Amino acid sequence: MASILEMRKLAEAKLQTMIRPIVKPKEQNGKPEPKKEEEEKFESTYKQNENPDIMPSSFGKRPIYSKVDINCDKWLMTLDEESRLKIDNPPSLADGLSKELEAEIRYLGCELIQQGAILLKLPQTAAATGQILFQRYFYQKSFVRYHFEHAVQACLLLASKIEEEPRRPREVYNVFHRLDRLHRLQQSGIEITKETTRGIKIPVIDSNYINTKQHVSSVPIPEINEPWFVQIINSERRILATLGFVVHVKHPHRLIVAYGHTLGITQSRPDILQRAWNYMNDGLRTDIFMRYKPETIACACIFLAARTVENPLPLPSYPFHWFEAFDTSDRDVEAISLQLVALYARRKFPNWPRIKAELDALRSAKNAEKAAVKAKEIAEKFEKMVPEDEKSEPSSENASRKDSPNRKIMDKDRRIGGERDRKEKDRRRKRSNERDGKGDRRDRDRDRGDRVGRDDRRKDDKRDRRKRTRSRSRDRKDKNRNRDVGKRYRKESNSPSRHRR
Amino acid sequence: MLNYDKMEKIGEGTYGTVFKARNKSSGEIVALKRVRLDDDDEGVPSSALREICILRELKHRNVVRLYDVVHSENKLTLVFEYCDQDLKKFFDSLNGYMDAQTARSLMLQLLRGLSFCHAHHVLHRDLKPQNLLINTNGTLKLADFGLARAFGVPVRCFSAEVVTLWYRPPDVLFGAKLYNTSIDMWSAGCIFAGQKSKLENLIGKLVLSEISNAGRPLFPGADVDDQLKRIFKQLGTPTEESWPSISQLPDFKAYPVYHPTLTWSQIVPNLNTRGRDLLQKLLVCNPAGRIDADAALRHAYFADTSDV
Repeated sequence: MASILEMRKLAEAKLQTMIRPIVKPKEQNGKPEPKKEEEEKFESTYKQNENPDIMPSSFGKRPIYSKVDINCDKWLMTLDEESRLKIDNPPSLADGLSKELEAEIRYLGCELIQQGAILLKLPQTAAATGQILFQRYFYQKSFVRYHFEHAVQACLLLASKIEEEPRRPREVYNVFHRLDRLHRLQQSGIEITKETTRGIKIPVIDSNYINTKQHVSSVPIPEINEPWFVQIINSERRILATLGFVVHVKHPHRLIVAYGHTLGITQSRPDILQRAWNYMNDGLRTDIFMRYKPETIACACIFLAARTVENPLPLPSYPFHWFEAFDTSDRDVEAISLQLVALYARRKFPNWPRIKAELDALRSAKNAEKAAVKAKEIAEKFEKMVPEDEKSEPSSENASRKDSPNRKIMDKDRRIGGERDRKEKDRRRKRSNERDGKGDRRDRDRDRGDRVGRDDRRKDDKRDRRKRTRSRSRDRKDKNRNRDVGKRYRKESNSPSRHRR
Repeated sequence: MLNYDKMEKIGEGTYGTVFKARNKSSGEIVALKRVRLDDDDEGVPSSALREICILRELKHRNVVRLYDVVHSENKLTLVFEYCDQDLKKFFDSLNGYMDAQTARSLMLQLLRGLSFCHAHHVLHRDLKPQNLLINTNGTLKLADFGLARAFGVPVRCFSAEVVTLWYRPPDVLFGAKLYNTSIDMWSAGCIFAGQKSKLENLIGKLVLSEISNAGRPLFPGADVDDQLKRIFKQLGTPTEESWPSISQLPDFKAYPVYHPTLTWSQIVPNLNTRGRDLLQKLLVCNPAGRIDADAALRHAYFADTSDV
């Protein structure tokens, strides 16, 4: 009997070893890891700041790391739970945007990209790429936090590069500017004709533009603190970082042609193909490209087109539906078709100015809220800090170096003070309205300098920064010696704009 | 960039400076390619964009690995696997002797890398010895995908300004906008012949043509016109029969009919007959007739190991 038991045990052990190698790869293949770390590269500066082990040499450098995730070939958002949650509840909703408005902005953004691509004489693939990038981006980021206007321009710029028809940011801006005016005209009820649009000029290369070229933001535009050029470039980089440089898009355009060829309708029924093509281009405004593979979308477009053209053509459905030959299920085809049909039920064009106003209201509310929270946090920190400082100070000055919250805050302050990058346009800086005179002067100095002297200048900057750091730390020590420092900060910290100082 | 100790400058890439560096935590040697972002008004350079999004999808022994992209305020740093030298330097360092085994192994690896890229729908479009890296253990890796692009089927119009002149195939020289994997195969053939003719020259066995002189590339043309002339002098001028619809290419120009004066055995005498056969299949003027990477890998040249 014992031998039977033993044999059973052996068999079980064997089974275990056999099962394991099968199960493991399945888990890996079935659910590709969501690329969490890439998502917040640009915000990760925040986390970097809070890192307690900041080495002295890292001051002012603020690296932002990303991981290259090679296996991410597609950007379907239905493969893992996290993305599925995201696609059902886009991140904008968390910022108080209503679902309808969110969809509206999405639609508007795609529409703008499509029209912009036409004005820029970009191929349709570029327009599609731009729209898909836009959609992907705003399933990771919130419309409230990031201006979709900038993203639209950045997407156009990026798409033009990806599809090898590069356009200059300046051209993109011109086109966007025109679209903006056209929409305003339309909203005010004026019919768009040659006469009414004659007044629209391309934006002149004004002081704003020149300023951006030289990266001096001495003339801030109201509501947008940074000039458009920096906005576009930064937005482009943010999109790339957010999407982890996965910007290749597989388009169903070709697939539609190929499938049509297989079905034998390319010659006989070009109208069906044209219609399918149109459906696909319009479908870019929905989220189907986040949900389904291009093959599936191509099938659905042909399916819908074959039924809705003037002369409906029955496509083979026996012994099985034709699209099953292309690895597509009838459920998906139906879902996509419904979504496409619903798209045409939309009656009016989104009202851009209204959207803008609503977004701005949300933004300012959010900023105020954030500032209040931050102020509260800092007040708490300083409250905590006071007794600790009193304890540590008599023993040694350096004792509080590592772990006192004071130190951390000071680090953060110094980083922001030492921040030299002219393109950087963090929300943080926006919120801290002030910039010390020193920084401004340095900026100007830099821009006056020629490109040739860049290296010297950089060295200078480094020295400068180091010097400043030293002097600041001296200041800080003086301040720490001051006994009622805590009280003073507590008083000040109620005003959000000044807590940075 | 905190994780890396910069060691020395290796060179200038198409769009940035390349440094050798050591990973502080693991001690691993890497190559850092730095792209400055504030130098131009165009945002992220499209070559960098292409290189990143293509290389992050390609993972192969004979393709250089992109480990990481560091995105900081005003620059973009690509962290690459480090290789000791490129093929050009390798040729120079050989000092006259490269045995047939090495040559074949390099060619085999080049074709393997290429076949992998092509299988993943990526065209390199800039193959040349400078873009092929070699490790100390003799592993060859394709690098510099700054001009590469992903292609779909059917292949659409691409830009004609690709591939360094000497390695540019005649169809592209004629301004062809439609090309496919055959573009890389021509370059591979040129490199192949280049390495052979160098070997040949240095051993100095036979009379050399001016083409294979001093280890120079097979077709070192001065401009497009000269390049085509050199090619046709060696391969014979293509005709409508050997290359249908050649005259419809955008920049087509009639060339005098040259007849090959030198035989392949004179140009690359050290190559055995099978190698010569492969070379001839790679260097076919008509892109449709050019052998593809997979077929080249199956070529008899790589089958026999007992030669020379």
